Amino acid sequence: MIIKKIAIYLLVITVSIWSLFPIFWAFIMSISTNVELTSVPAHIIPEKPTSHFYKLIFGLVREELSVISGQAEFIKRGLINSAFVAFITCITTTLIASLGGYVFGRYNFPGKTQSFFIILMSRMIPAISIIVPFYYIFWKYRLLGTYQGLIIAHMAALIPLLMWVLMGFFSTLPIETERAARVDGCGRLRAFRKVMLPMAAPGIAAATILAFTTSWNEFLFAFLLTTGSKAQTLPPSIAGLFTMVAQYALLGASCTLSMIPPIVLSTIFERYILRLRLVDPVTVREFS
Amino acid sequence: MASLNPKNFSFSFTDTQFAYAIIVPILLIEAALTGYPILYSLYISLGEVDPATGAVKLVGFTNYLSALKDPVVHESILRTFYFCSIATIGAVSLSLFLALIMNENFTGRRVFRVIVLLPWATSEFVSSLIWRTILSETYGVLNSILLSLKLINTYKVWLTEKYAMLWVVVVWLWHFAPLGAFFILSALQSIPQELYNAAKVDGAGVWKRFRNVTLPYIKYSLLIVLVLSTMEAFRAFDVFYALTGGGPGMSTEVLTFQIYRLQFQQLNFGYASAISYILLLISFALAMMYFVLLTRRRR
Repeated sequence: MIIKKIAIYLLVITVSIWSLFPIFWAFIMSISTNVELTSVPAHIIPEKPTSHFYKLIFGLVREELSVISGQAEFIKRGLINSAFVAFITCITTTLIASLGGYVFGRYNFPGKTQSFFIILMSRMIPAISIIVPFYYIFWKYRLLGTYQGLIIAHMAALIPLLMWVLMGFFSTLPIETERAARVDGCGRLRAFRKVMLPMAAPGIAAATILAFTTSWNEFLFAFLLTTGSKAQTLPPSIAGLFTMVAQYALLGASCTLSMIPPIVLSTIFERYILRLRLVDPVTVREFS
Repeated sequence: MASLNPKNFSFSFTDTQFAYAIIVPILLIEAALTGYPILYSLYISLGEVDPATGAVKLVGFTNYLSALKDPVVHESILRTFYFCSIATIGAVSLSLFLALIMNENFTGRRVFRVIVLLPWATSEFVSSLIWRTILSETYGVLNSILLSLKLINTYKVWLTEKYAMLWVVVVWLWHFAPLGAFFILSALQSIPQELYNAAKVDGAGVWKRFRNVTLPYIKYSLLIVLVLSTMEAFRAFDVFYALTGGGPGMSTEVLTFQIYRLQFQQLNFGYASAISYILLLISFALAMMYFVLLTRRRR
């Protein structure tokens, strides 16, 4: 028994190091100086920890080299833009997807399997294979480099995912309460709002977080649709920063800032997110 | 006139109408935002695009034919399958391993679950960039640690032509395995404890218990993880862009990255779209498999 315990804890420690090391290292880079990071061997625990690079990003201090200050400025803008885009995206997507998920999880109608198939397929499309027409269409409708453009792109990718997840969630909720509400004279939308939404609140909260983090983290569309514009979000800003050599500390600070919201949110809502089981195969099976 | 009378006028949907009223607009949005680009991409793939004006000159299946004959494309298809097969095997085994640990009873189990979940929550692009700095041959911390521990004498280049692809798999697994692990974990938790106890009473060893009790219960989840990871590995792009940029040489240029390079570095839109379609067809085949698996009832 004791041996088994020790073995388990050894495995737990190994896995924890594996999972946390890159996150930990980004943080260490962010509080080190470039000199410490580029010494050989690099200092794993910085001798003189500094918050200089965070201050630089938030514009509290300036560097002599205007290029670096400029990059830090982009990171700050990226943070604001990412937060804005992710916020709007997660609100609108969750609104649409919870209605859609409700219908898929609760109603039977001719063509249900086919529509489900379409939804599933649109989630399977590799983003890279539609990026050129996307770029072209956005260029045509003057949506390149705009907030609404990126929000639309993120919504297109996220609605299927969230519907899929929420459909599973709705189908697990007890049907009796809803039936009672309907018998009492509630319309479908009213029953949805008054009875289903409160019951589904944990699932919808988790879906909202899933949408927020996915939009916040998204790189490819953000990179191609917003790079160089005033709507440039955080990941493309970090990509721009990476091309500059020997700015490891600033890079570490940007990466840390970019990882904080997803990490905090998924730590707080871990239980709910896991309850969705992300793309729940079990409930999808029940559905067919 | 009866219907104008408020008492008789009933504006109520049937269930089917209600479902359509909500689903049809959503399907239309999806059609506009993904269906249209896909068809447009088909159109471009049949033509030659002038990068300056955007004018398309239709040339039939020329792009497809030359893609099928192009050794560079062949190599990247082979590389994609190579990446997918190691990534998939790795994803299934690592997910199973993580799930089995998470399923054990020990203090700090909840914290551990959060720790396992974290890599999946971070951005694939950002975490791949961090991995790139960790693996860097000039200032990388992996080299620093190994040098401090005297395991190597000088800094080593990790992302070599021979091993770069394996490192991509490692980084991709770091990001993806948690998702698979939680799939398997939810299956593991549905196994009744009595079955284990009964097996123990019957004198079944660890391996026998795993094979005869655990495995039948998680077989389905393993299958889902297998297909899902194949699909995700097939679409992977960020990790290649951030970690290796297709290099060194062409050693990590998979289909997705090749499409990116042809489109945005060589502005060869028609050819890139044709390759996109090859990628799309393979992903659809995989998605179909997934769909069949999902909708088939568990026996």
